[in-house]
Amino acid sequence: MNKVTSSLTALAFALAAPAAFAQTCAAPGGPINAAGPLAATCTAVDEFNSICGGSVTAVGTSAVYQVNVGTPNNFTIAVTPTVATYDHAIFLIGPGSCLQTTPCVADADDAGPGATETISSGVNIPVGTYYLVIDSTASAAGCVPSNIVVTGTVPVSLQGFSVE
Amino acid sequence: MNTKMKTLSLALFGLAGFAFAGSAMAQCPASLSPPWSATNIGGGTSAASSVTGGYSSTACRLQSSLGNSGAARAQVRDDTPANETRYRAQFIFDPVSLSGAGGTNQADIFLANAPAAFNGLLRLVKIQYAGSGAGTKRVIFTVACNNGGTNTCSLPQDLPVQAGPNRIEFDLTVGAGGTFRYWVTPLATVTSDGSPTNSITVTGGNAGWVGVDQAYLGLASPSAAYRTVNTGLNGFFDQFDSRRQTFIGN
Repeated sequence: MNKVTSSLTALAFALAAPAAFAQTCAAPGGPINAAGPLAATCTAVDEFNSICGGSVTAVGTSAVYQVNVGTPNNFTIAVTPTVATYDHAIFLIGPGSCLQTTPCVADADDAGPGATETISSGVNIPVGTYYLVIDSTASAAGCVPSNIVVTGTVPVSLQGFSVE
Repeated sequence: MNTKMKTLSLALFGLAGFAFAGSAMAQCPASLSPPWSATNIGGGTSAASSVTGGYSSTACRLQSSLGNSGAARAQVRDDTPANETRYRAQFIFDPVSLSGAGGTNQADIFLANAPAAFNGLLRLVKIQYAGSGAGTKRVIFTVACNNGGTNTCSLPQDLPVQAGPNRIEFDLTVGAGGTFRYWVTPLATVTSDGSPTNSITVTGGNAGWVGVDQAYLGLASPSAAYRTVNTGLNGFFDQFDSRRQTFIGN
């Protein structure tokens, strides 16, 4: 019998190797979880002219990381740019899609240049695949490498189940 | 064909049932949805609500303020449009409480979005509140256009009433020969279909964006300069109306 049970990600899941080149919706980095921190690189792609259902303008280039959320869940994601002058904004969008029209679960853009932005998922958001989008509402100059730290409970969804 | 899609003035609700003893004030609806499809509020201490002080024939108006976040939004959303290739909309915007200082002091006040992004852009129409650099309050109209570069064509328009209500209307057609006309006038000014305030050339057309599928009204996406002078300050909106064909006017 093979069974994958939900558990605290911090205890159960090894950090996936970050993709070296691609952090787009089609090929997101991660998945990220609470076993980090994860050193995020950055693409020069601008996939999000707008975000949060098309309601928020995003002017910077973006980097996208996958977040697999199971149940129960309650987590925070903190992202710190490695360049002190870069003012990024972070968005958790989903579940199940990675488009400008996808709704935001949480977002943060109030810390200012070089500072850590932190988002909280809330308690027990629906199970599914979410995407962390690192972008900017302040500058189109391009995103920079960042450090991502996830804390709390982000158990991965059940991947497979069989009885023999 | 039903040429009128939505009229969403924040009307007086429930006076008889909900008026508080001793209060002579109008009772505005506690919730914005309905009549709107949804609210979209987030980013710092952003807020949107229906308050007294509506314009002309309405008792209540939409009050919108933004928190100190670049992702702040205090909007209402209309899901009524369905890939509209002709879209006319009108609303009242009052920036009385907002500062017009700073040339990069900008925030969105209206969005008309396509069903999906084309050339990386979702917005068919974006209207921003902005400062002019000399303290004059204005709006900036930006429309999607397949110009082979920025994919946007835009024009600023000074508000005729700097500390009171302005009537803003536009007429968008979507296609290879897309067009965009707009009217920005004082509240009481009589307008006509044949005399817009100005128009924007939709270079390269806008067919790739298909049509208007969703609209947002309210403040959103404040620039850093906007947040410096306008965080927590109210913008007011009223009498939103959208149609497929007929001029709305006044």
